Amino acid sequence: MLKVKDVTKKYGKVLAVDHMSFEVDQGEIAVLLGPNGAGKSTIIKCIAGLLQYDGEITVGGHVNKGIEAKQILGYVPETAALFDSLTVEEHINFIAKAYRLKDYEDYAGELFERFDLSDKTDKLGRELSKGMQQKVSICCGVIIRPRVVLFDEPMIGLDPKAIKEFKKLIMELKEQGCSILVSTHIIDTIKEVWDRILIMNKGKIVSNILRSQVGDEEEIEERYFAATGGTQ
Amino acid sequence: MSPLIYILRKSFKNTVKGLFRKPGPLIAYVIIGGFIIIPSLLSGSSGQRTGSLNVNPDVFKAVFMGYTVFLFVISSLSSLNGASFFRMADVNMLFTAPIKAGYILIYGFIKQLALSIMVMLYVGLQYPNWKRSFGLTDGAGWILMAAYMLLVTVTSLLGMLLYTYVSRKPERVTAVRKIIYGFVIALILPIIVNTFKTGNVLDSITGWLSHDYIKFIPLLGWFREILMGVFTGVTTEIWLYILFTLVITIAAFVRIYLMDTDYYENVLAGTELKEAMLQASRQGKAAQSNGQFKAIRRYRKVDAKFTLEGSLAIFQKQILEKRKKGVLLLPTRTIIMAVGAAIAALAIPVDGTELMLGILGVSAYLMLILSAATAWESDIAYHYIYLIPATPFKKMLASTLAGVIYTFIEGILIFGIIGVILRTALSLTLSAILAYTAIGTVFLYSDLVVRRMFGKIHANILRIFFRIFLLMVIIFIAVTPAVMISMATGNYALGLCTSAAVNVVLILLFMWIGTGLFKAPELP
Repeated sequence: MLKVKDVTKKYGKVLAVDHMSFEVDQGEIAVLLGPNGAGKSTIIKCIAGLLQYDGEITVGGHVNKGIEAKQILGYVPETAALFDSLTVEEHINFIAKAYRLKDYEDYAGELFERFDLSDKTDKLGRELSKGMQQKVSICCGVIIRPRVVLFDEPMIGLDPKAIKEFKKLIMELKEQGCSILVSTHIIDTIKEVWDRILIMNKGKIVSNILRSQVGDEEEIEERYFAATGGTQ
Repeated sequence: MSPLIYILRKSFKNTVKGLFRKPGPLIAYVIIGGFIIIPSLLSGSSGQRTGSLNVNPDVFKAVFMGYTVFLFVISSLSSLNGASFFRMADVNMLFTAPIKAGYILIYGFIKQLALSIMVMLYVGLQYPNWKRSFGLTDGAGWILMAAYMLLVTVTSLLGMLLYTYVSRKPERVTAVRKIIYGFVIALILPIIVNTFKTGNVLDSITGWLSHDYIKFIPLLGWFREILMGVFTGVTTEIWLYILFTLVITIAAFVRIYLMDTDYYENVLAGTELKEAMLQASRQGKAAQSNGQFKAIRRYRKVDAKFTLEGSLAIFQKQILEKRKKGVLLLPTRTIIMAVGAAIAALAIPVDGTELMLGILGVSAYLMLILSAATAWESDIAYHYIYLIPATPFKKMLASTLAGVIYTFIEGILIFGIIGVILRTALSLTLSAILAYTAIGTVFLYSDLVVRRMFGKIHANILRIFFRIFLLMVIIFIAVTPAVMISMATGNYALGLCTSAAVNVVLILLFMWIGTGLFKAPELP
């Protein structure tokens, strides 16, 4: 569903992503795991079409920057970016109209409910706390019912209940056949949900692990430190 | 002091290095430098002083007085909210470091003055034109730059002192604000009274603001006289005013330096506000904010539904945002230009057609300085715009449509009003609206090109210079044929329509280049 083939991204002379290739299958939760500066956010932004790069990226068989790909691609950035003067509800309405969504209101209500936003739908973007903004950002990313969704460090700033709801949400999306790519540098946050772990270091994927290939969660940690050259 | 010098030195060095790494803006700065230096040298050596406009010096006195009062009032009002020389990094790292507070103040001050350099560059660029048009004296450019620097310095320092005073007791803010407003009313009142008596607005303004004894008002009057040095040269009297101003500046500086106060609390609020302003500016909201007060603005409650789909939802979002900000109908620029044009139409006894063409020229020039609200700049800072499933061209059109409509409405207001006052032919009024909209739209889409070429930081600085260059191009390729057609046919409306048609070609070209911004954002 998501294919990244030989993608390279440079910022000036700095090689942020170095000939990276991987795939995320339909209904699979893939996790980009790596230390700070490994290139996780960069590759996610390349997939979202926010950066120029060399190589090929397809979403559902379409080039990622094309309209067909955008229609089915959801993205939740590392830092929530909300419009100052739009309310929570207006953000969702804006996205819905821009993506030409039909019958999204019930789903929006459901998302507001599970992220404790129901009583805050009239609040302006700038009036929300950072955690609340992140919740709205997640709602904006999934309201389009994406077939591929990218989450860049989505759990930073979320309270424990929201983290639990977020994990439930991505499990539901997975059951609906959505391909999910989550980036994080905190191994513990993704323990229960992953199907594939892509360990990144210095702009490269240094290890591509399927759940069936590891015994327990401890092993992931060991393999992570072994692959990134860190110590426990 | 050495760590502060280190920061200044390194910041400067890194900025220069950054320019060499991405040479686009550097080339632009060099070209601008050339535009400033070469005409200055040429006009300086030939000593040309044509003074072709032959304007009464009292008008300049009034303009200088109005400008000085405006700067002082804005600076004073801003300082009530805590104007600051500093950035958050300065506050967090320097104020907590074992460095003498006075040194930190000097550091902030140097940074503040460095920021004024771009304004001085603009003055430098315009100086040859002004010298030719208004008959300025040799060295007037230096007088303008020095006066501006002094003005920025003294207003910043007095603003800081004012904030230190009001921050101790919150009720002082209201009292000081009332005093400032009272002063402005006292200054304007004689103009209003005289206008009622004589029925002549322009003469009343000029007569009052150029009055001789106004020069005795400390700072305000002194600056008017210093600025008049551009015509008279630096006389003994002007040296005296410069001396007085310097004494006040030094006294204010010493007062702040010696104040036994922890600046942290004083500047924190102002710095936070400044950070918000800078953030807004980087997202292209500077044109909308127009001052520190609006950085933390209140939004109206507006009930609105999104009805337009696809890329047009961006346009509808912008309209909704404007409605919430309450700027949908009469933004500041429109008010300034419409009122100014109406006063000119009422006060200047020239043939209606000539005056309308003159106002069109002045309006085009003013569009260089007074940027319109450009919501697209704000929008491209958000990832949503790029992810929306529509072509980049459609997204570009939808993001800029509000700006085009805004310019069109502004044109209707300005030329509709003066068309009625001057009773010009409907065809001339309509073609002036069309020509105005076309020029405004060229500027709007040229901003896309500048942003694409130089990136968001340099674009904010280079935009005005690019517009000046563009205005010269427009004069060459659009205005010249328009004048020729008007002269040949005697039909000014036809001439204006011709200029608009040529500008449409520029618009299409800039649209084509600017679409790339919505294609490959390189969003951080």
